[in-house]
Amino acid sequence: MVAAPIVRTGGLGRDFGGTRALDGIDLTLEAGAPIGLVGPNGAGKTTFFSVLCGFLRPTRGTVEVLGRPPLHRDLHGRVAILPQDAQFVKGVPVQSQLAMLAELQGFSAAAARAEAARVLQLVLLRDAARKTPETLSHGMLKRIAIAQAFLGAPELVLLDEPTAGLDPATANEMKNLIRSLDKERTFIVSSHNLQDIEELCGSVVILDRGKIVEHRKVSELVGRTSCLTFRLEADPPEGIAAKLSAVALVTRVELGRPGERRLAVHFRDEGEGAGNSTQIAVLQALTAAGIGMIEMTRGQSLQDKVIEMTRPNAG
Amino acid sequence: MDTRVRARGHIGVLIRHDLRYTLSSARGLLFLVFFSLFWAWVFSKLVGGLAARLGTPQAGFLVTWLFDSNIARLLQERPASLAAYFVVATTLTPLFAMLASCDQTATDLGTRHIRFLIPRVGRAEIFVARLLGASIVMTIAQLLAGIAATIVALVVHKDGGNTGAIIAYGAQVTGLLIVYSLPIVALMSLVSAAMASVGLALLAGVGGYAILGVALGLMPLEGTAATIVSFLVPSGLKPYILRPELGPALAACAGALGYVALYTFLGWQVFRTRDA
Repeated sequence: MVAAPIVRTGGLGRDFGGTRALDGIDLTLEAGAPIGLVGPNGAGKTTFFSVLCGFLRPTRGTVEVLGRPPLHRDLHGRVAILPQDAQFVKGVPVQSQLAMLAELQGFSAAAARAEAARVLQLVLLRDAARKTPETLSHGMLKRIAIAQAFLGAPELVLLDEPTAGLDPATANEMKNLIRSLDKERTFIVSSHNLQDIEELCGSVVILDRGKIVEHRKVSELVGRTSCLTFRLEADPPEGIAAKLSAVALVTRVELGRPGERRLAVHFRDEGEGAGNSTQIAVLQALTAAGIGMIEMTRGQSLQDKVIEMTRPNAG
Repeated sequence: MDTRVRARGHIGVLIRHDLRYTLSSARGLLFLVFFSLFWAWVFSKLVGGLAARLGTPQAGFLVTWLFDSNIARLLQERPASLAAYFVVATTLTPLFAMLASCDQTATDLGTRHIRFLIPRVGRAEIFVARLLGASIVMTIAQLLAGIAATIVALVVHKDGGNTGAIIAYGAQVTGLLIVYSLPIVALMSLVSAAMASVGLALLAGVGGYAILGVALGLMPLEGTAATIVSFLVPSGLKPYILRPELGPALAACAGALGYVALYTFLGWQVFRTRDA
């Protein structure tokens, strides 16, 4: 039997008054490598997560998670979420709250306490077990919220901004945690930190103004074998585009907007070291033009790509 | 596991946690302290001689003038301290029940704590668990107050030699008060789901009840219209619950259960369709 997609939507829409937060989302996501969900503020990422989990009802269209509509009782315990703005109950120790959530997932009382301790250990907060939420910092509460998403063995884990508000070291620990578990379950990670998405995810869904702009593998999107991106000391002069276009195999030259000090050179990927020779020719052309560079990367960064695709006049 | 068995398990876990939270939260403790102190004060007055004075013909005349003859009869025909407790408790039950049950789903919705629950448990189970949790708290509070009132009556009327009758009436009063508080708890399930804030739910509940009470007093309604309007909220049952005869009180209990069904249905409709 072929496994159902983890998420399937058809013409999915959600309105808030006159605002279309989601508009005609047709999407099929398969189990496997983590999937990134990105887009600018107000793109509809959190709304999309909320519809998948049944927090919000769609205004129109269909949605299935693991082959079932959201809120179906077959999904209980199989889908977990790190919600962006949910709070724990004040005055109750966090381990008690996690144990209660584990009990709701079918653990016995004793096993639930052990499970709560396990997930607290996962997020490096074993010492906070007896503390109440109001005595914990924002970052610690975020980690407790991450911990609740790892209770039991959910098949699909939705993480809304998992590293927001965490210090760099802790954010790294959380990314390592996700990496260590991504063979056992599918993650969908929403984040504004596109470097995190690039590091963690195999594919990415780009949302903008409630619509899907792109859904592709990260490697394809950033074009590692067919693009060179330069960070320059100053904005590139206008004439450089024509000079670089004359280089063999170069198909397109993209100048960053004023102030971005960026230049992207796209070329045909013909394999057999062609990329290297194109790279050398491009570098020579830049040096000849007297353009100083700070950094060169193969491919575009996901951040640049997303900014490019979600500009108000893009597409 | 069978779906219904699993649902019962979920409800049990949520109620257990809810009761523990009630005993540790500021709101829960506020209710318990306020409820306990108030009744301690009333019982001290009853033990201090007030009960004996309430049973006199002069007091009966005054009560008839202030309230109605049924309450005066109640004070004359039943142990006066228990009857006095019954009258005061019936008047204040809506307030206490609102205090005890104003949270229910309000905190879940207001703090979005419900987002931790929904992936694990059905909305119906959350709603039922919160309603049952609040009902259990109110029932236990009424039960303890009723037991205390009965003990006070036994002390005050110890020379009457009718211990069995006092205990039986104490049980009847406690049972009636428990049933009378349930529609208010159910009403608050509706208000808390609609308001999604404990403070607003309490304000809307108490304020709405008070405004309706004043409006009903001022409205120049008579006949069927007056009867219908007086039954908009469960306090329309109060005169029947306070009748000395058991028949009208039992009919009022049936009516109270009707309110419970209606308010629970409306509360569920609001909670079911709310964004989490």
